[in-house]
Amino acid sequence: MTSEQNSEATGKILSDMVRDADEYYSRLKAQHANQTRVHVGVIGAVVWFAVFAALGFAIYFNVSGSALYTDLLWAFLTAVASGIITSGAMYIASRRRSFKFAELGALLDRMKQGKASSEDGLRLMDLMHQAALTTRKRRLDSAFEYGVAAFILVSFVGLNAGFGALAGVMTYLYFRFEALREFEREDERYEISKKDILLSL
Amino acid sequence: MSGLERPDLYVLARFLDILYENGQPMKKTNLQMRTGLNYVRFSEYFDWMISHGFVQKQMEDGADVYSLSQSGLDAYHRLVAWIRDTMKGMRI
Repeated sequence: MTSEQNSEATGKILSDMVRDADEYYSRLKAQHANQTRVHVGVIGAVVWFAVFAALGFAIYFNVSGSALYTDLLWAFLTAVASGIITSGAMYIASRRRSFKFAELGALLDRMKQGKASSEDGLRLMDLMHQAALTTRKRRLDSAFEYGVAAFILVSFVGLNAGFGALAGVMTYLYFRFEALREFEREDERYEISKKDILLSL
Repeated sequence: MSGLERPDLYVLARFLDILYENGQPMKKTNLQMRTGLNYVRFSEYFDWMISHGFVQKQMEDGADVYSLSQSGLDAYHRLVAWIRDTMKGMRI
């Protein structure tokens, strides 16, 4: 390859880099939106479960006869309404908070307007890496949510809170372990790769 | 002799970007201004670039001017290719 061909290839690589990073950023935003929905959904389910369990037990031990079913239905509806209101409030609050990766978006906008340089490319790469790590870290929160979901599901299906708790803890620990392992592996790989390029220059 | 143990990749990239985009040989002072580094820091990096053969000195109208050498160009291409490859491997 001649020096001129090399220069053309490098220019193309830099513009492709911006395009790829833009796609990455779009995926990041979509994933963020999805995670917010899941998070809000799980919180809503927890609130629903807690309200229904509290009201249900109170009704079950204090009401008898045909009124029991009517009151249980009301308890169920109240729990559903509580879950929906909590989810809605959480969703609005999370939408109002600024997007964590706004810096990446700002750099991308700047790079799209001007000529991309390798220094900007490095900055972009670091921000993308930080975003990827933040996503992995967020899986630790998801691990807790999966644990709660497993607890609710197993408690209901098995009609046993003890089994539910066990399933919840096991699910939480498994997803937490996986998230941490992936997080550490990825960070280490990235740092090694940076050292390697420095040595190879 | 360069006093840099482990140079900052960002600063090296800046040097390479400036010399590559400029195309023509440039004066040391001009290069220092474009990098935005103080003289001590600039000298460390500049010496490092010279010691690694990335920058070559020429004479123009009786003044010393500097440009990217062939190995500097190769290093720039390698750096850009590495950034692209690393980005491609990133998953969310």
